[in-house]
Amino acid sequence: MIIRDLIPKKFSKKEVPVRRVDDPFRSFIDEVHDMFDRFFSDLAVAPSLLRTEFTPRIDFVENDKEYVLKAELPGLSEKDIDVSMDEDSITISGEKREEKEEQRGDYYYAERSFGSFRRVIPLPADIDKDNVKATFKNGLLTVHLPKSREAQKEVKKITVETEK
Amino acid sequence: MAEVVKHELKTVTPAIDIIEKENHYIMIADLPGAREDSIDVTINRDILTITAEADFDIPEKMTEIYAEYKPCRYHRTFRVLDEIDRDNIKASYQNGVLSLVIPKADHLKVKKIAIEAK
Repeated sequence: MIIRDLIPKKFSKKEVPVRRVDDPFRSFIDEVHDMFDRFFSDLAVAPSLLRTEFTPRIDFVENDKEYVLKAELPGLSEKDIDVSMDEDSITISGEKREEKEEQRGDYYYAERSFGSFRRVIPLPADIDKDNVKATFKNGLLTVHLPKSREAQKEVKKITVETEK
Repeated sequence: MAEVVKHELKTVTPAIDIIEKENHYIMIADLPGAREDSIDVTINRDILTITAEADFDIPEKMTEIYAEYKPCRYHRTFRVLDEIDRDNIKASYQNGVLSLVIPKADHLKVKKIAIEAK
């Protein structure tokens, strides 16, 4: 038996939106998994043991002139965040720490996640590295990455010919 | 009174920690991107509600490459009992994290009883 199967589904790191087919002959295994889920959710385990690692969520958009990268980093300050660039990618790393005051006390809910993180985002086109700007406000990091002039020109229009 | 829900924004349940201390509770909510003036904490009868709007300010006419989140409305409710001192709740917001310090009602506070030596 794989140990992962014992971990209740609701605590697994990422929820994958897989459609579940409603099978009238649902397998016995599924039934057992559900039993485990119910068992663990009823169990009064110290909630802080069930925390997952912190991974910031990212949004990445573009227009003709620039890319804009946004990352949700609640509870961090600009000093905790490290943004670096290399040839073809940008890396956001840092650590989300628990506030010291919290450390003593009984937890009723522990849903927030902590820990160090590192996300590497590949950059699809040349960036004008001298004009990259990063700002941080309300727990949201925004990085503006202007495209280089060459990259702006690179958009090619391909004519579609009709077959005869 | 029923609240009018803005349908254009997705409602997201923020992650919350609740910690009990000797004389108060601390409730901490991660609300990344929430505008300070959009955050509302209300107690109506025995329901404590936290709402906020995340203003991600995504410029128009941009194409999404990755989208792991959307502009959203944070909403979370809790039932509170008479165990708290609802007039003295303190809230603060910094770097996308809302902290509420909720004092316990007087009768629940830890009292030290002095022992008299005879």
